[in-house]
Amino acid sequence: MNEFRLPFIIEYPDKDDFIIAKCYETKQECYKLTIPTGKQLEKAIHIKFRASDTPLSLSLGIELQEGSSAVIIEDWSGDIKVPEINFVNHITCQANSNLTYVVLNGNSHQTKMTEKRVSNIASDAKCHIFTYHFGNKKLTSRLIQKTSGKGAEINTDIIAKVTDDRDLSFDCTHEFAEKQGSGEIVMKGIAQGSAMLNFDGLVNIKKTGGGSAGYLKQETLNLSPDTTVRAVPALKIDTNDVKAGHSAAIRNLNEEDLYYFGTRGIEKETAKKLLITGFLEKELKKIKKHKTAYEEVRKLI
Amino acid sequence: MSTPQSKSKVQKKPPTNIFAGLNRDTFDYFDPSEYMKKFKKGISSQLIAAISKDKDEPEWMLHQRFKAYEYFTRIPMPDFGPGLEALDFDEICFFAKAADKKGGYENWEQVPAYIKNTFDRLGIPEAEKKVLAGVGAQYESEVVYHSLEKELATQGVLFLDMDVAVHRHPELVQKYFMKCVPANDHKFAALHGAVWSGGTFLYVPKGVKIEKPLQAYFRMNAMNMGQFEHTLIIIEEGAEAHYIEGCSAPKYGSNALHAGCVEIFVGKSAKFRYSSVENWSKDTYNLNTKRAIVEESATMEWVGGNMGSGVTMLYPCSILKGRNARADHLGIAFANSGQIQDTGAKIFHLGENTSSRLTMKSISKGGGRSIYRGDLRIAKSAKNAMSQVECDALILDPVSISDTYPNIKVDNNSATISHEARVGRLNEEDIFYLTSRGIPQAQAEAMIVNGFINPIVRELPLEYAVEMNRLIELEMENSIG
Amino acid sequence: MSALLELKNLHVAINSKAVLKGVNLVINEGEVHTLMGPNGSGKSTLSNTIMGHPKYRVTKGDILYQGKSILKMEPYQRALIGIFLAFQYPKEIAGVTLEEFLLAAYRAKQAYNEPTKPPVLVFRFKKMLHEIMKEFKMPEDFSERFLNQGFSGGEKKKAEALQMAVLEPILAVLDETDSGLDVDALKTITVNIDKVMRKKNTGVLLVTHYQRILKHLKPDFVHVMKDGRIIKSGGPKLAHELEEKGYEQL
Repeated sequence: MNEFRLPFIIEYPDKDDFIIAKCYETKQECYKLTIPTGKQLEKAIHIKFRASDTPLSLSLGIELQEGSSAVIIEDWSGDIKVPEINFVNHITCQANSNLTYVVLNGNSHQTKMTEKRVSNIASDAKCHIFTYHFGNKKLTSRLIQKTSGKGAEINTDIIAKVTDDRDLSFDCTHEFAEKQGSGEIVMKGIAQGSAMLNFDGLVNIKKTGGGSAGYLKQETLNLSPDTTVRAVPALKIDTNDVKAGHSAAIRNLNEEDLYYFGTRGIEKETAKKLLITGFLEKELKKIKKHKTAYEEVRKLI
Repeated sequence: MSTPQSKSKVQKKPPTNIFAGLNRDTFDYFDPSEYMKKFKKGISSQLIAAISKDKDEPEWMLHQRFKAYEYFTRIPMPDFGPGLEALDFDEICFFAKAADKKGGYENWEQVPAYIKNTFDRLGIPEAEKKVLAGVGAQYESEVVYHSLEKELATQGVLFLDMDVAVHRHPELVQKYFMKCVPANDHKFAALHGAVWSGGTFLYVPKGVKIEKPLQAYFRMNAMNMGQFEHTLIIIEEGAEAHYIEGCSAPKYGSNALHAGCVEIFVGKSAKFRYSSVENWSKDTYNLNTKRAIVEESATMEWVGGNMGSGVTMLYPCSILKGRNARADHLGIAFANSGQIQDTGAKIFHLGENTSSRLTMKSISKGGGRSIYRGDLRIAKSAKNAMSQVECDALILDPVSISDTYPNIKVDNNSATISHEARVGRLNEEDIFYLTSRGIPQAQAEAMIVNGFINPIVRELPLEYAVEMNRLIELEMENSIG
Repeated sequence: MSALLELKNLHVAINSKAVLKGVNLVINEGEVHTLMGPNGSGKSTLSNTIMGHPKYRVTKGDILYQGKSILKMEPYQRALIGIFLAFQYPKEIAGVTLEEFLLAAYRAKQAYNEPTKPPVLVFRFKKMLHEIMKEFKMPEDFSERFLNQGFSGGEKKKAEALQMAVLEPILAVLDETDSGLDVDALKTITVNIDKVMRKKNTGVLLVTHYQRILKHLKPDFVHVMKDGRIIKSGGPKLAHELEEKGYEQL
């Protein structure tokens, strides 16, 4: 019947709470996870990708039907040594559904990955995507969240750390095409070694998106002289009944902060570690309530 | 050539402030310019040769023009920003003279009547009698009237029209002309290099500090006029000056092109402020290039207001070359119906310990579109750079648009960069408060808008601050394109 | 036995500007020295120079701690040998909790003084910290807050004094610890400073403007600074004189 081997393992106590199916419409390997109408899952669905030697190209669709809610963890941290990954993620949240979607990316530092994530969030539905990137040699990430109904809430948190000669590039857009939408894009990064980190963010409030409030925040800690860091926080506002704002900051560790730590006997390297972890801490607090997810993220860092 | 009539006209207006009693009609006053008929439209190497001959230019300048024309034919149109497809180079007249005498006039009486009329209406000579140190005026690509207060001349300050400077101070001009904005920089710089005419040359020698602001106020007249004035400013070590440029043009049915160029060299420990209030006619393409190179411990300030004009693309650029160099960009853009204000700033940090600050306020109304485009680059050599950018946008109605595209690229990790922007509309509570005190709606809105731009307007000299506020009020009342 | 702290003809400059122009001072263990003087006299510079702030350059003279010069030591090394500076304007460090910060400092000290012992366990440290916080009348959840973020001026000063109580230094430099504190907070802080002093025979250099704190923390010596030098030194009576006649008369 449904005899197909998934490229990932799903950890979840009760398999009846959701439906996983393989789709045959596209030529790319494609799977779809559906949370049925009204189902409110208490535990997180943990999707762990398997190790493989061959390039991986696949698409994963997530659908939360009306009134459902779930926490889903997309986990790429299990010693994945795949050379190349091409991943497409479609998320649909129907009216009044609530999704917390956590991506843990701890791929090998030799992996090249392209990811595209598109979400459509219907009226009064909420979708909060958290992506944590500590892996990949090269990553090109394109993420778009769109409101497709009144009162939709879209939030995206992108946290990344690049070291050595790795190259991570993020392009995130929030599109408010319907009324009373709200949400924030947070992009936070740490750049070390001779790495490259690129943050392209856009809040687009369309003519039809009156009453929406969209924000964008980009912050990067630029720790080494050989890094290249770029931030483009853009706003495209086509109507005036809005609240919008963005901020971007790029800085190094503050000498005064390091001195303060020093005066308490904490030498530079330890101080740096504390400050760097502290830099991400504020955003990590947001998923503390989702125990499984939080623990997994901590492991990753 | 003064007539008793024109003289009494000058005396009639009491010198309260320059722009009192202005309305849009004042700007849209049109002089029948018969001299325009003798100049053909379109650009060609013959025209360029004719321009140069007419000015009796030295060989090196003609040579530069031809080189620039060559670049113009080769470089493609810019691939970003508002559409410039409607711009037809063959339809524009690139050169015309309004007066026969070169070098301007030493005093108001000598200026031809029809030119005097125009400036009369705008009250320009009044200005000179008051605060300003000198007035240059451009009319139909020719600098008509320049005068310099005697003190400045004795200090070695040169404030001349560009054409004259080419003749009188060739070594100085040749040393700096189009070195800050080279002809091959982009298509409109090339066009400019080929057909430039008129403009201001300002040279302030070492250590000289000029307190009163210097200004040039010019306007474009006649249909299909293109303006390509070149402003070259050299501020030597330890010197200080403030220059104000303002412009206007009447509105017509066909496209007028403005591709001027401003080059500023700010020497070591010098300080220079460039203020401009641009209010071009609704049919112009305003595609200026303004750039400053800032040396060690020097400060460059750009204060600008951009209004009017069909399409504007203006990104004042500061290159912080020397260590401890600093740039301050303050700008206001107002995009009314049918207008696109695509403005911003480019700041390049090259030296050590350089710092920059940008405050931009934009307003869009009646379907207008205001766009902020910023380019902030910290080079690898720029140790300990600091930059702070703040742009706020006010969208006055549901049909208007505001876009913000700041590009930040950092190649040195000791840099501290922060950028903030907010977009919103007029606060209903604020309007209610004002109207509940009997102030009519439109006026209340204008007051709040003026308050929004106040942090920048207050950096302008008083007359211009008033002008700016008045223009905003005009724009607020006028929602027809 | 050598003095705890000895400043010998200390000249300090910031960039190329001379700020301290020959300061001489001797502090022994268990002594309380008060440093007073008008704004701009160099008091904060002196405090931060003792701690080793990179911005302040010693152009001449020496600083001896327990008989040895510490000029070449980094701030963290000076902290590990027992020097503590309570800042006039403590920094706010987002993302790092008070608890995390103090744990790291405490462990660093442990590692230095008792290298063979394993580092203190988190829960044990937390317990100790909460006990000290009780004595400072600080609510327990303060330790979970990001360091000094959202703290009022007085709370920040209290937090500095709390840090001192945890780290138990041998030389404590308190830079205007009393400014902005209400009577209760002042009492709490001075009681705890006293406690540490009695335990470790700590030498204290207190920089202050006001008399108030001197009622609780009786000075053994009072010094007045002006234009980068100590122009007068005396006993507690000098403090009274200053209160009555001000700095002008010196």
